[in-house]
This record gives sequence, C-alpha cells and structure tokens, in this order.
Amino acid sequence: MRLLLIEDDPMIGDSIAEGLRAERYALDWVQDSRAAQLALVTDVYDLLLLDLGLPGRDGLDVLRQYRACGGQAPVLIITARDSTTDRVQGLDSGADDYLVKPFDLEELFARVRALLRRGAGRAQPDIVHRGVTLRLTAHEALLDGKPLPLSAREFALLAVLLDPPGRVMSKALLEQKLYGWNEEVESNTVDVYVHRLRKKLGADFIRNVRGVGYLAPLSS
Amino acid sequence: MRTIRSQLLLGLLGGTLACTLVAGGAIYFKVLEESNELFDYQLRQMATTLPTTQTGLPARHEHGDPEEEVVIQVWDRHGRLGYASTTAHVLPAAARAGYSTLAGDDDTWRVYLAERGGDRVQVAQSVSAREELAARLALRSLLPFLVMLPILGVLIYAIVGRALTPLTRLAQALGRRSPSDLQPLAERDQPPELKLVVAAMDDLLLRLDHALHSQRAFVADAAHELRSPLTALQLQLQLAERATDDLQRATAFTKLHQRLDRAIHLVQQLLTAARQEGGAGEAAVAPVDLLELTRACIGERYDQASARGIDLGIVETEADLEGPRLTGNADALRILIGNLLDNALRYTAPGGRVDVTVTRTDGEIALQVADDGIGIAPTERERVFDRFYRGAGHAEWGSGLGLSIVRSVANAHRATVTLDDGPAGRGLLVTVRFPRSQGVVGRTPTLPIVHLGAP
Repeated sequence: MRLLLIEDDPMIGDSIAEGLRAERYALDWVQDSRAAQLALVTDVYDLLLLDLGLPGRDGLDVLRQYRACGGQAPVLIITARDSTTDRVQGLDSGADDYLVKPFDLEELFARVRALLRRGAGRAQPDIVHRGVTLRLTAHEALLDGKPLPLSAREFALLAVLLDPPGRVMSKALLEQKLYGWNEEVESNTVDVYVHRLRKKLGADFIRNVRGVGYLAPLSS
Repeated sequence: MRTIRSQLLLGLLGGTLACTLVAGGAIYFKVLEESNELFDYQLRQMATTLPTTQTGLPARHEHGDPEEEVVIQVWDRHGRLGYASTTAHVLPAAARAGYSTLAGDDDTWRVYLAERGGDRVQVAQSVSAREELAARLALRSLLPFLVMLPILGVLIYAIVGRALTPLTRLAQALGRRSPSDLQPLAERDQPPELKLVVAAMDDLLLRLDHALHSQRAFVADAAHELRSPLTALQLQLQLAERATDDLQRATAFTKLHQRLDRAIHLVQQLLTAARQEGGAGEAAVAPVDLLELTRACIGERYDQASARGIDLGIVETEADLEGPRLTGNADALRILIGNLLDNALRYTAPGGRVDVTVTRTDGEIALQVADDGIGIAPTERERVFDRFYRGAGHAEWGSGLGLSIVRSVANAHRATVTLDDGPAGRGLLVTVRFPRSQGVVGRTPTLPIVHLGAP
C-alpha cells in the first residue's frame, strides 16, 4: 500500500514516516503543498496523510484541489488545529478522518488501517480469500488456519492483490504500491515475489494476464 | 479617612459657627462703643443739669437696676459729701473735672465730674453694666443664626448626599462587574468632575482589555505551538519503544534527544518572550559594553559553530570603537545578540560564514550579523518578526519566536531592526541600530495614551 505524507515539520514527519515504513507501507513524504501537488499528479496513492498548516498554501487547498481533480484515495488530516469548526471544515473539504496532534502512533496506524479497509470496500479487519487470511494488524498470514511464513514484501504484495481481489493490476502499478521514492526497485522484482507466492499458495492463486498484469481471481 | 459627606458637613457647619461667633464679637464691640458714647453723653447731661439743692435731687434708693443705676454724688465747696443717690456704692471724687474712669471696691466706674459754683457734681455708671448690656444685645442678634445651624446641617447632609449619588452608582456599576468584563463603563449621565474619572477609567479598561486579549492570544498561540514539539516527542518515544535491536534503539534515542531539545528550546523561548513583553527589560538598566557582550555571546557559541564548520567571528574595526557603550539591560541585550547568532548559525550551511560587526557612527551604535545562509525573501522580511511565524522553504525547526523577541528587546532600547541581503547578495544581514542619545529604557507603550482635556 502506498501512502503520501504531507507534513512540513521535519521531526514529526520523520517519526511518522519511520513508523509507517516499519508497518510495511510504501511511504512518500513531502514538506510543502507544491511538492504534494506534484506527487499527486505523478503517482497513485492509497491514502493521504495531510497536515493543514503548510508553508505556502494551506493543506485544505491541496485537499480540495485533489478532490476536484477526481482523487479517490482516503485522506487523513493530521493537524494541531483542534476546534470543531476546523474539524468540520476539514471533513467537508473531502477528508475522511481527522487526527489532532499530539496523537498516539498506534492510533495513527489503526486509523490508517481502517481507512485503507474502507477504501477497499471491506468491513472486516482481516483480508480473507480462498483459505488465505491476512491479519493486517499483526502482519500475520494464515493458510487454512495454519501460519504461513511470508516475507514483508510478499505480505505487502499479497495484501495489494487481495484488497479487493479480482482486479488485474499492472506490474508498474504493483511496483508503485510496494516501493516509495527512495527505495531501489530491482527489475523483475514483482515477478520474483509472485513466483514465490505461487509456490506457497498454489499456481492458480495468482494469475498472469499476458501483457496486462496479475490478478488474484475470485474463484478457481 | 472621613466620608466626603461628613467632611463637608463638619466643615460647613464649623465654618458657619465660627463666622457667627466672629460676627457676635464684632456686634458686641460695636454696641459697646456706641452705647459708651450714648451713656457718656447722658452722664454729662445729668451732671450739668441736676439741681444741686437737696430737694431737687432724686430720692435715695438702696438697690436698683444696676444697668440703670447711676450714682450721683454732690460735694459742697468744703469738700463734704452733701448728697449721694445710693449708699451701696461710695465713690471718691474724681481728681479732675470731666470724664474719667474710677476703680471702685468691686467694679470699675465711668464718671463725669462737673464743678458748678463751688459744688462738685459727680455722676457715675458701672462699666460692667454697660458691657453686660452690649453682650446681651449682641447675643440677641445672633440667636436666629444659632437656631438655624441644625437646619443648615440637615440641608447640607441631604444636598451632599444627593450630589454624591452618581459616585455611588459608579461604585455599584464597577462592583457588579466580573473580572473579565472590561467593556467601557458607558456612564453618560455624570457630573463634569466624575466624567473625568469615568473617562480615565474607560481608557484604563480599554488598555487592560487590549493587554488581556494579547495575553490570551499569546497563551493560546503558545499552547498551539507546543503541540508540534510534543507530537514529535511522543511519536519518537513510541518508535523508541518499538525498536527491536540495539542499533535501532540507539538511533531512536538520539532522535528523541533532538526532539526533547526542541521542546525545551521552545519553552525557553516562550519564557523569554513572555518576560521581554512583560516589561522585564525595565529592570537593571546600566551602561553596557556592546562589543564585550557580543564577544561573550560568540564565545558561548564557538563549539556549536565549529562543530558545523561555520566560521563565526567579529570583523575587526578601528581601534577607537573599543567599548561602545549604551544604556540598557545587559541580560535582554544578551538575549537579542544570542537570538541573532543562533538564527545565523541555524540557517547557514556547514562550512559557511557568520560575521558580526559593532560600529559607532555619530554616536549611533550598530550591531550587524551577516551570514551566507539561505536568507529571507524580501516579501517575508516583515512577517518573520511576527510571533510563531516561520519562513517557508527550509527544513530547520525553530520556535518562531527568535526575531519576535529580538524586536521586543530592540523596542525596549529604542533600537531599530532591519533585514537586508547578506554582503555577497546571499544570506541575511541583520542590523540593530541603537540611537545616539539613550533615554531611560522602558517599555514602549503599545497603545496611544489618551490625554484628558478639561470637560
């Protein structure tokens, strides 16, 4: 899952980024509204974390423009502005959730999970598909109730393919969702992880649509 | 202190009483003088016109009205007392003819002695009787005034009480107020004397209101600004708790320290700002050697500068500039210089240069701090003095209070702060100019003082 963090405070941004990367999200961090707009045009994100008090343009302007341009990703506002008016204005401008500083890292993670879940059209906290259960909170995978050892990247790729399943996704899109800007992406890397997952889950769990990409079919 | 009412009552009544008494005295003496003339004339008339024969004289009497009483004595040519109108008072004959005053056994007598063909006729009247008469007359004329005094007292009491009602109303209006209610009194219907008081009070309330508002805004801003460093601290603490190996933990703790330093820095700057704006600069005003103070401030930051490879120092100036003194608060000036140096160091890249100069021209002392860092865009140069304003486009954290504090200290010293491009067209040049004649250092009033004219 790829997240965009828009936060001007270097220390807060650093800590949030470190925490979310440790939670195996691909995360890009920008510090002003211009960089944020550029990132939103060039990349596709699953979730936006937005600070309102940005230098230059206000964070709400970034949000309104993103929604006006058809941006669909859930947006979580992270700000020190705590008045009811600010919250209402933030939510009415197109945000999905609102978190006031200072906040707990665990709460941030929980809200991120909840927003991603809703963004995928899912109500249950776990992803369940054809005998595979992905527990996103604990980063555990189960196959038919038994623990399934997966590397961090394998887990992340599987989560992308299964949330929700049945969508064909290009290799480029999968790469985008797995890697942030400053992470090295080796060639064929998606192919390698798909290969490993197939070995563990069975060849037909992930299918290749030639010339288009991969999908986790709804049924065999 | 006595109430105005009792002061007025006692003063006015006492004054009236004193005036009445003085008037009584004057009447007494005037009456005495007039009656003396009249009685003297009467004595003379009697002495010169009384028949000297035994039969023509009034019959003797023993006692009579002392006021009316006139003692008539007649001596014949041989000096024998031929007649005396009373036996109660036996007076000697006056030494010479005409008016004289004789001291009797228990009284003083006014006498007239007439020599009439060998006989001497003396008519005498008691002086105390005359004085008694005058006193009675004076008292009688004062009586109405003395009767009026209590009535006057009641009147004064009532009128003063009535005149003081607006004051009572004002006191009640003030007493009913809550501490946060600093609206003007809006007491329109006041006598001119009280209007001055009300206007002065309204002015004070207005200034208090402004001061309170800015204080509230400061506290709100401060609380808001504390969120960011505290958020950074909290997040980093949680990351440190989640660290799985020693390397991760060590890195996390280093970052934790940085965030703690930042929070401490902000709190210190908030305290400094509150002190400077609270007028602490008024205390401890003394001659300050600005160059010496600058050297001390630079010395304190040498380690910090050299750790980042920044060349920090004073640009040597002519020898006669040694010790340019100005009158001010050394602690506040140290904060000013310190903030300028910290800013310069913070926004200058490693390997950069920060030059400080202290110069004096025509008695005006100027402190300049020049760096070759990122500078401040001309459009932002006024706003950076605002509290908690942080310039865009850099990753450094700061309290946003540094330049606000600098300006506050400068204002207290009647100095000006200007921002320009650095010497090489890069970086920032901050100039603080202290005026030639340093008056008494105090807080510059933030609001115009309303001068009260006559009503």
